[in-house]
Amino acid sequence: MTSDAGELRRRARALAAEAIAPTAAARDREARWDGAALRRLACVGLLAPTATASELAALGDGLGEGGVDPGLAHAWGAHTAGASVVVARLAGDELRARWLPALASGEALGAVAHAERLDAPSATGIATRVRASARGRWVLDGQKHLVVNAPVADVLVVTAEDDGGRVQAFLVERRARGVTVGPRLVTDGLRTATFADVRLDGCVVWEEERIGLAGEGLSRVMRLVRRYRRAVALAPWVGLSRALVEASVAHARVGRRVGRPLASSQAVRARLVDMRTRVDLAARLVAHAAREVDRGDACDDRALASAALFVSETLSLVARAALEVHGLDCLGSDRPAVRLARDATLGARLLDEHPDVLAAVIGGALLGLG
Amino acid sequence: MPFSCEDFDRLCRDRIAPRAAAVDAAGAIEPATMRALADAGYLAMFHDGTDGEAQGRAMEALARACAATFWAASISTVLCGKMLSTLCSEASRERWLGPIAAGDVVGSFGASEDGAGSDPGSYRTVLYRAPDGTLRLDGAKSRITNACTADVCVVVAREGDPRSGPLCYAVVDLSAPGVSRRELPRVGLRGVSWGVIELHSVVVEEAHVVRDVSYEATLGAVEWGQLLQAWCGIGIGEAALDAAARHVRERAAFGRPLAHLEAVHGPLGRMRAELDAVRLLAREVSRQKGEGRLAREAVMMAKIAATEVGVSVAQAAMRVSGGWGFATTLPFERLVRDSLGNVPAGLPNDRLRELLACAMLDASPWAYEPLDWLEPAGLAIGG
Repeated sequence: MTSDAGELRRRARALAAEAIAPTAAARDREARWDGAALRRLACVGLLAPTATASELAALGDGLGEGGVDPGLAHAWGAHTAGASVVVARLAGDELRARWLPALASGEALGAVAHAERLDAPSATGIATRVRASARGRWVLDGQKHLVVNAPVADVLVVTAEDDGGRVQAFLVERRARGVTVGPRLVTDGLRTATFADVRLDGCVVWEEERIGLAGEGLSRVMRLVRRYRRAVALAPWVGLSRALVEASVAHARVGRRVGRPLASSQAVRARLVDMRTRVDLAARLVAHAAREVDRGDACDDRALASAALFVSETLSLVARAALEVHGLDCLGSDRPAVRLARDATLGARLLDEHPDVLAAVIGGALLGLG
Repeated sequence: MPFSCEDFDRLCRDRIAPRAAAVDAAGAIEPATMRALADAGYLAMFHDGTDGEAQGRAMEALARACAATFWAASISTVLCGKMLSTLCSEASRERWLGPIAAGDVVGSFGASEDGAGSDPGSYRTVLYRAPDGTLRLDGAKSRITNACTADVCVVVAREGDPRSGPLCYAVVDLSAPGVSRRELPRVGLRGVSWGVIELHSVVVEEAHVVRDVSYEATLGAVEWGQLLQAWCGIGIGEAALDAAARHVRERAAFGRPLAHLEAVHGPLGRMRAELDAVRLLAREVSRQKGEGRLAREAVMMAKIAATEVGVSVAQAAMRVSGGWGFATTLPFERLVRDSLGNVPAGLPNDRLRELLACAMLDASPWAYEPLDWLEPAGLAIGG
């Protein structure tokens, strides 16, 4: 695969424009998942878990811009930058041989089941438990919340805490005994993606299905997932924001306000420039974050947190500005701008911590706290 | 000797930064500082093939140490120097570029006038042929950095007719008879000279006049000005963030340092993210300019974003520092004042927005449409 980021982005954008965009509005109206559309992305390497983070980020950017489908982009992120990367980089040989080809082709879909809704604070952030059974197997019990791809996934990366307080990670087949995927959650946004809660009741997993070593569930597995979320899964949102800017420019060329062309308004012009500048800055931060991830253990996690914060706030700013430009044309329409603006803020919240939390963590780290 | 980024960082941090407050209070930069910059290679690095990334890093380090010193040195060697090297004649380059790079003379660029800022169509300084056959300049350039300290000025003038003559560049020896100068009062950057250069029948040699300069060539030089303003915004922002972090660690309230408050973490975190973002763009522009390329829209976006981030970060740093942020014994008020100068400098940010937007919309940045929205909106008095 060529490492020319611009070329990768163009390639992904072209494919997504042809394979994803034409049906995005209809699928959004119908809240319809299209696995075949995701599988088509494999032909430009969008599903390749062994690609570098920089390559995946460039491809993801193009997917977002060309596909104009936030839900599918979100599903892609959970699959490629979540489950697939974990299997590719941290799973044992047997698991890799069993699942990697199917994950890379899209024949199998992955998800990451980590977040939970906790009744009480937990040092690890999860309450799902794993215990060793008498015959050297493991048994999982717990509930995961709002798992993207869960209703349609084939495998899930599941985290659980053992009796020693260490977090382990396992690759669990969705159809395994003891795994119950709840009903698909009805959402107002990201309607072309699928979300569900996942319950584990005495779910038995084998030792070879454990990912990483004992106690590496947070320190290695989820750290990898978090890095790829911030450097790769955010990339389509940059592309989507760019598409939103382009849609706003196109609208400004033809729209009118108080009987005059929108494009002649200096206020509108300034808003369009600020949108575009913000997206350009976000794209550079994500590309930089991806390069950091590719440095492996030398990765500067602070740079990734900065990227996540900036992109998250960019999505909100650009979405709001786009709605201002479109004005009353936002009402009752299938305009991509309206869909994107609706999904932008939601997508950012699902991918990472709330911006207030991210900002506080970055500030605290800057002060040497924690 | 190749330029050493580490040595330059040390010079800025250990020698120049501690003097920044004094420079602001005195309204002047010590000659020894300019000599130190010359000896460190800062003035020459923009003309000797040093790569763009190192140039950008040096600009940030100096701006972070002292924005006024940065402006004085950079307008001379970067803006005036690039004008000389890319637009002006061989004679002008030989006479002035080497001495600027060596720190022996100071340069300036004279475009704006009292009645003309963003609109070159309003320039009235005129170059004309006097009855004795000499070329002479009449007019006044206003809001010029290094106005009272410069030895040379690249002046934009109209040739022949002050209203309709074609624009040209005249390289003016400011020691020539007929030149008078004065400072203008301003909010910030008080250590650098900034004022008016009046030209009363000043003789200019034919060899130091350049005509028919292409738009691309002009852009190539002017972009350096926008880039240095971007780096100044970033440098001021970093200085402000650093000062704020130090202050909140030391200052206690309610029994613990301010640094323990979430209300402090959040703003600092956002400052960090914004500075990281604009730095990446400025670095890319520095790379492009260092390679001799036009940066076009990238440098305009960098100038807008970085200068405005500089202002917002400086203001946020003052805010998290509470009442002491307002005191002149801490650097925040100087940093806020200095940061404001970058926004209108060169082309003001809102004019740059217009230019960028018109390119996006295929509209003309020169067309004027009178405001006539009152009647359609039902707001006309008596309407």
